Amino acid sequence: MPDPLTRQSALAARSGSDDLIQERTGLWIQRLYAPDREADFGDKIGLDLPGQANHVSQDKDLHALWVAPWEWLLVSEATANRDGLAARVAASGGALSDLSHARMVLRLAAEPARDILAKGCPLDLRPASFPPGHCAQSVLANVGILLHHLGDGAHMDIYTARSYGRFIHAWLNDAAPPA
Amino acid sequence: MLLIDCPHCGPRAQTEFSYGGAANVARPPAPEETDDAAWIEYLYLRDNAKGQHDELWQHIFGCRRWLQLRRDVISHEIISCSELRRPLAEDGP
Repeated sequence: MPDPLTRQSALAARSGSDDLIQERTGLWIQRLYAPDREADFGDKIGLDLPGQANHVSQDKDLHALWVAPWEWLLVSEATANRDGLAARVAASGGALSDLSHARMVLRLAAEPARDILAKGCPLDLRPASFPPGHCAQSVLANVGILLHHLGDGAHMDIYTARSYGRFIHAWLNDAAPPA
Repeated sequence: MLLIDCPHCGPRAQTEFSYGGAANVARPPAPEETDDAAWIEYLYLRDNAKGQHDELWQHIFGCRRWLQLRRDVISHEIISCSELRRPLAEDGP
């Protein structure tokens, strides 16, 4: 009898816990595509989508991150009762692709995160340029990342492809100041 | 390092972008009827002129959109950058 396909952390083989970096696991992550220049797409599918570049909107536990014109990343800790969304998106001419298993998400406190990321990411991360409630895609140590400065201002989430997860985790630990 | 002002994402470092070649090279309308010399001209031969240059760039680590950019290859000054439109405007992006 084969093992059942249970979800595992991208860092499962790594031992030890870490106070600096927490992995967020079990997230529901979808990339949402709207038909080009469909201004009221969010209303049609019943979501509050940020129209402005690099902005994030939040509706209860659901975050919508702007990633490109007419494209968003939807992220939630709750996976239940999303069946209606896919139907509404399809009926409105959009598309939804499930990235829940394709991304690794790390959470850091914003204060050390700025200094750590500055060692390998060209983004301007000063609070004036990258305030809470903003997101940006960039490179970190030559790996594509999506950075989300949470609305509370105290944390940042780093999204990266799951296959780069252990590398990015090791890189961040290496770049972090000694405890 | 160039600082490219992506019309979607804002000013970003060159490392987020991928260079896509000269913007104003026209593909021969009927490749099967084009002789080898003209095809080689289209594929490989560029003017490499001093001064302003129209280029294609893709914001590969950002919004993934293709951009057209007018750049001075002597001073590296970026004169303009906008979303790619076809056909290219005569007076640049």
